[in-house]
Amino acid sequence: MDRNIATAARDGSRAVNKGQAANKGTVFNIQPFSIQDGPGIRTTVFLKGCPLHCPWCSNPESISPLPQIRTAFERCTGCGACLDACPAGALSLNRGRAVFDQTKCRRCFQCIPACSQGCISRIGQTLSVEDTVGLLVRDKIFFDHTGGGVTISGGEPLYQPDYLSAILGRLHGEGIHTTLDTTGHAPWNVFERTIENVDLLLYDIKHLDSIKHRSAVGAGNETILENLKKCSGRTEIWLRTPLVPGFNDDRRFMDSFVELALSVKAARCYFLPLHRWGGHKYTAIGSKNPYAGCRDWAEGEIDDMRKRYRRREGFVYFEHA
Amino acid sequence: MGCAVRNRVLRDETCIKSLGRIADKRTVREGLKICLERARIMTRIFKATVGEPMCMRRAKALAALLYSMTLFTRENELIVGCFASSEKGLPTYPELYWRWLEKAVTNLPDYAAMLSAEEKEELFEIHNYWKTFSIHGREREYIPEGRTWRIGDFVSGGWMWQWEISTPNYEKILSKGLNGILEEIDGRLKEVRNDVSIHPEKRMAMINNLWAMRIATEAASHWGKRYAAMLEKCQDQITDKARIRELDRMIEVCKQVPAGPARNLHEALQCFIFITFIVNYIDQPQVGNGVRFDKVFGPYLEKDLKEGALTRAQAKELVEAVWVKMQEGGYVQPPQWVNNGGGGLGFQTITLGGTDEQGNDITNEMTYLALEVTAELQTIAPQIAVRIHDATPTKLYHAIFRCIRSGCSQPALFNDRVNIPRLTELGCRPEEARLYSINNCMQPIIPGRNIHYRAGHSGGLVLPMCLTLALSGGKLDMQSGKLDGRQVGYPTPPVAELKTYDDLWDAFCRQVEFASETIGMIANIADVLMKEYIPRPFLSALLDGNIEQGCDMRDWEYLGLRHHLVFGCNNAADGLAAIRKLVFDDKKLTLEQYARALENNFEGEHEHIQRMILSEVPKFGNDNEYVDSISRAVMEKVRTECSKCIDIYGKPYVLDGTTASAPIGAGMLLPATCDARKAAEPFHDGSISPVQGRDNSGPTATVHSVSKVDPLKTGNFLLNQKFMPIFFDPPNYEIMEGYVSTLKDMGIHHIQFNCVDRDTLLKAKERPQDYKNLIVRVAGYSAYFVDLDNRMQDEIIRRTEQVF
Repeated sequence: MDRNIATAARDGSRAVNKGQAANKGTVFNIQPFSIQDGPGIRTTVFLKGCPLHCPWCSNPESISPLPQIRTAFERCTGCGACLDACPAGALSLNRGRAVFDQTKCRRCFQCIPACSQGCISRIGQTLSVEDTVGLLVRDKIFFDHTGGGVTISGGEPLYQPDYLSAILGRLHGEGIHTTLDTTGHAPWNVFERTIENVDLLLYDIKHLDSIKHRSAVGAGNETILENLKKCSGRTEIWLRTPLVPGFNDDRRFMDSFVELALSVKAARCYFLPLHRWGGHKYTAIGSKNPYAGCRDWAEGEIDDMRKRYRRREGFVYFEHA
Repeated sequence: MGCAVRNRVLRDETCIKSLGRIADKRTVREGLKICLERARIMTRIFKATVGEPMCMRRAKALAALLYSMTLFTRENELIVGCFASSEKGLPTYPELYWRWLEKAVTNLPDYAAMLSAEEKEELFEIHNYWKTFSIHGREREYIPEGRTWRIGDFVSGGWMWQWEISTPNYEKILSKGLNGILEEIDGRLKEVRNDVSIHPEKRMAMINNLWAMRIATEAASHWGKRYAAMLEKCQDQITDKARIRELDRMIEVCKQVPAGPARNLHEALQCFIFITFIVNYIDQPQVGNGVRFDKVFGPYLEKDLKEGALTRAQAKELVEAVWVKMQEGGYVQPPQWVNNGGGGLGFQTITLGGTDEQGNDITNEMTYLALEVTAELQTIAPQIAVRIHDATPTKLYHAIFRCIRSGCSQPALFNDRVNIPRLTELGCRPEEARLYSINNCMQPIIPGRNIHYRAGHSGGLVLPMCLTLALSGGKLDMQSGKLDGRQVGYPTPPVAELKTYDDLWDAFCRQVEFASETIGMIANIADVLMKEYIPRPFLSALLDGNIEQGCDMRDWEYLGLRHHLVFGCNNAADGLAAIRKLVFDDKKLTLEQYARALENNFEGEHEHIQRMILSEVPKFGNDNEYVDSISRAVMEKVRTECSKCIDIYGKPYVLDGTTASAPIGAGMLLPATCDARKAAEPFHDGSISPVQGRDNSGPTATVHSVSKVDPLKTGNFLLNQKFMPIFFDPPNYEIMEGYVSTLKDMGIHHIQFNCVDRDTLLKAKERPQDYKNLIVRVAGYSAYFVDLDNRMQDEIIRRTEQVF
């Protein structure tokens, strides 16, 4: 297992055990004007921390539940100020540019103000429910005009259950449409608490074969599939899967995936062809080995698959979302 | 469509007579010539009419021009019209200016290449005649003592006189023909002549004005017949049968208009070009068009289509021909203006959509045709404005998005909810206000009404410089940026005496007052000179009320739209917020330290101060009340000061936020400002856009910030937003329609969408510091473009290229 993810998983369980202050959450991005995370214009809140470790993750900064360092050393002048500020020796110079090793980082964040070029920043802010909702309701006028709302994504949002259900409840109180973008990998009692305030589930399935699932993302799919069945009929579902070459792009998986979508009465199902656009982010957080073993889609491949499902147009989508 | 073949001229050959954009680093496009014909005829007539009333002299000069100027047609043209003696000629206007042109052709190679040695000699000889009463620069004779005012202090740019936006009443011209208008003039002339109850002085002035209108209008009505004769001659040399038939049709059209009423679309469009060329290029250099294109020409199109006289494709070809004609326009501009105005072409705005007097939507087939042509031709003229109101059809939204998606950044969308109240507040009746169109770049006017939006100057109130002057007691050395030297502003107290933020705010306000008052005073001098020396009998006859009153258009105004051009509002707001936070709230700096950093351009030991300003202080455009409230206070203050200035017709000045590219031009000339903008960097574009790269909270936050600065109470006009092309793809039409209608309900004055094109991405790759806020979203993935590594950036650039 990748060392980063092992650390992340450890940190995560610690955070969950400790029980985060009920009204605070760790958020790594709030993205207004999202048009691909559900209907209309949406604000997407990205919660930090994920129990799975998909090697194709395009948001690797979402995996650890704790705030962490993000670097952009393209602008580095090699002045060395960050090295002096770091008590842990996580920063070094290589050919006149700083290099960050996140395994040594103690998350004291003292290097951030030390950098005169603004190369170092912090991923993950602690936000109270009040502050989060306060930020989100500002764009209500846009939601109302476009049939949009708020999408909670991650990471895995169910990883911060108290914060999540508090936000969803408050948003519903404001009359805002809510969408939960989830891997489904969480205890049902956690899921159950949130689902009453979710108008749309973007539910991700990585593979239907539990062994393959476990070998790729570090956990079996039993919980995920069980939860999905329990959600069926309780709220609108858009079932989604990342389409990864060599992993789940076989005909058998794709057909069963569509069948599953039908059987749980999903309103739509999405094949999301893998892209490797998040590659630079791995470097930025000081970890290695992005997209191990994956290749890019060749031109035309997706179009061929799309043709295969043409008669299910309006139900099966091949889109990045 | 046929355009690619027929209008070969469009992209490559000749048409673009605008001045080069800044990026070209050239002031004039190659191959353009100064045409002396207009100046020559003008001078001859003025010499021959000494002693006559000015309106008569100008009417006779215009008549002489229209009767004798060289006419020609370009290959394969469908709509004819010219304003200089050759395809590449640009007229000059010695009654307005001579000094800068002489300097330019003497000193600058680009300008010198526009004339031969003999022509230069003739030009100088012509100038010799005009030197004493050419009006450009004569304001200096009338400025009060002790009020030295040098252009470039914080009025940017040179003095320009051509910005007028009264739009002829095309509906009337097309339905009556100029002959109909002549009858009206004759009728009124007879009445006035026989009405001895009118005060004799006034009666004689009225008779003079009406006579002048008559002379000019008659000459103009004859113009079409001259073209018909010219085309007949051309026809003799042509063997292509199809072209001969085309010429037959064109000859018939030119025999009919502008003298007679237009009977079909072809005649209507030809008449429009004739009138536009006379008004905008031959009589006076007048930037701006302001026609409601679909409202005026839509009925002709629908009639022709219904009767089967034209196919839609043929109609489209005619509209294309008009676009190309408008693209031909241009002026010789002063060198300094090139930076400020980005060339003179861009302001020929035509308006689409909107309502009739009762508030019913007027969208028709011509609306769609015009947008299609705009998307396909990608010309820079005309600029397109679309009015957005509650009943704007969804189909029109889709056409708008298609057009924007084509990469031309057109049209701009104007909100009826703001523009109509703005006009009624200025005194328009609501049913008239509903007829508004957009002229110049973004001024709401009523077509056919006598509206003065005449910039005697192109200068403007550069607000961040007012803040600088507040830190220097009004003294500034423009060259070095030192806060000492000549007293250019109001003598406010020295820095040491500014103990609180309120003290600073007061000093800033005094500087704004002083600048505003000075600009108003100079503009009024300019207006008087215009009124006395440059009456416009022809345009007067085409505007409502002048024939009736026997007035020249310069004698009165229907609506006061005299303006102060304001820019850098949010550079000033960011600067005030920075000082308030760092000096007065957090006490991290003294005001003296701040001032020293400013005059040293935030360099050397002062660099960390720039960093503090950029990283620790909220910036406008992020929905942060700390700075948004300052922006609002600045704009409201400026508007109050502005309305204290009264124009020569007794109406208060209004604010204008239509800065075009002036923020870049002015920025190039001016030293560092308090918002940590360094010397020679541009100010933010428009009047309310956030400063470049400082809006990092997404488009909705920017809109929230902007909506806090009420456009009805301020000069908050122009907001530019950049989006990736994918936002304007069909699956997103509904969302974007919702977005626009949100903006409408939030009371945003108008919005311009720019599709992020390949060029922008290339620039962002090269100069990441200027594009920090550029978000790319492809395939659900979003990131700040400048954070991506080179390989990724190239990949996105490649994809964006595919999209267009």
